Amino acid sequence: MERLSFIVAEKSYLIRKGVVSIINRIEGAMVVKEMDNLGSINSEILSHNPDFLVINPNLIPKTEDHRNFHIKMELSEKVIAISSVSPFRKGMLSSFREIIDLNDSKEEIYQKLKSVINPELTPSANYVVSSELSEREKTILTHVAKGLTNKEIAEILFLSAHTVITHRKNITNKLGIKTISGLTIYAILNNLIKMEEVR
Amino acid sequence: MNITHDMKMADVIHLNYSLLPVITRFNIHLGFGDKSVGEVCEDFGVNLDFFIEITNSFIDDDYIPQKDLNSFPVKLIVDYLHKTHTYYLEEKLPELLSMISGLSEIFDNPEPILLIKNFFSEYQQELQSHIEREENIVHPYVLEIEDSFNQNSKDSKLVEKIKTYSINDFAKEHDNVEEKLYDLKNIIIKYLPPCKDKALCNRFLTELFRLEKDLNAHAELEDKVLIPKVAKMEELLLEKYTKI
Repeated sequence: MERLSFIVAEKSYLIRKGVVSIINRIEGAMVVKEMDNLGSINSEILSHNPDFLVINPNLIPKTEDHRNFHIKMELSEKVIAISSVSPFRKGMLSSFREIIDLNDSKEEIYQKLKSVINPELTPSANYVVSSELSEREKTILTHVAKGLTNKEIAEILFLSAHTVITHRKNITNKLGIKTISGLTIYAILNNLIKMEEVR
Repeated sequence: MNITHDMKMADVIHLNYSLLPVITRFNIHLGFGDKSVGEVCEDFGVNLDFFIEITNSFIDDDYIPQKDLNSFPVKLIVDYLHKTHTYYLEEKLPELLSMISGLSEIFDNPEPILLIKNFFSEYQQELQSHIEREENIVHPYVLEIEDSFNQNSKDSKLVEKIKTYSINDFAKEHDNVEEKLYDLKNIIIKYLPPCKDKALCNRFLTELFRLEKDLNAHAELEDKVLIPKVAKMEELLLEKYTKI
């Protein structure tokens, strides 16, 4: 079974280490990145492609709507909050998948995380993250490797530039390769294009 | 376990041999006998406090600085950064290059290794120009700031410079040289066809991981110590000389 990866963002050292230590003790789960602020959260999400994000909502700047963070994380079901907010105000936190309360016991936190991880226990969540490229992604990757820009690719495939960018993000997440030269090597090694076709 | 001034230097190496290139960077030679960290640093003219902070943060991500890193002169930090640059350019890159030439002999199909070779030389160029920019532009600038700060003399040219190009601009431009290294690791781990000499592949990959760790520690020193320190000096200089 693949390991499920977590990013934990929490300012308090004690709380963060506590959450991390519980996650790392769950079978099939591991923390890939700890953060004490959200400065580089989006690039960390891009580079680690975590399955879950555990975050203290207080870290989100007041000016920024926390829904924006969900969009960047693709799926709000993947975001878990750490919070000390009293129960009657928890409505504010309803968009998070699960809420770890600071007063929770070890068992409670463990059970909450377990229920998030095991989709069969929670019928609503039903997403499988595949690392195989789709046919469309392969087509786009081929064009990227040949050196075409997003705009050019969009025109050829009758897509919006935005859609091409989304596909490219997904390709990078699936393959773990960020640069164009790196993607080109992947495309050649996997016979998507020939070496002579580059540039 | 933290490294302290009264520990034996030999024990420091036993504790963590990944420090070897770091110790070399301080111009410290092996063969310390039973001398302590403090004694060895004195022998080689190394700033003991700086040595302790650098080595501890290198081996332990969670290390809590014992001395305020801001108290070290910019020159000391820049010297150290410069030595790590030399290490990358004169030791690490040639070493990796020679491994790549070795790799080209162990694949039936020359294509994958040719691709990796080209990719690595792109990476090499990026790293080189990154280093050149730091050494030719950024480092002279930060030293100038420190000089002016210490001498307490007004330098209107420098004040203009701060206004047009400050250390925070440099921080923003700080490009992502690590992206290619990340890709290279993944290509080798996930997508390289089987090769005859697994040991050589592993050695190459291990060295890439080592280089990455070293580069991260290097970037950390720049981002968390050098840049904030210089930014503070800039701020004070501007405050002082634009009012008068």
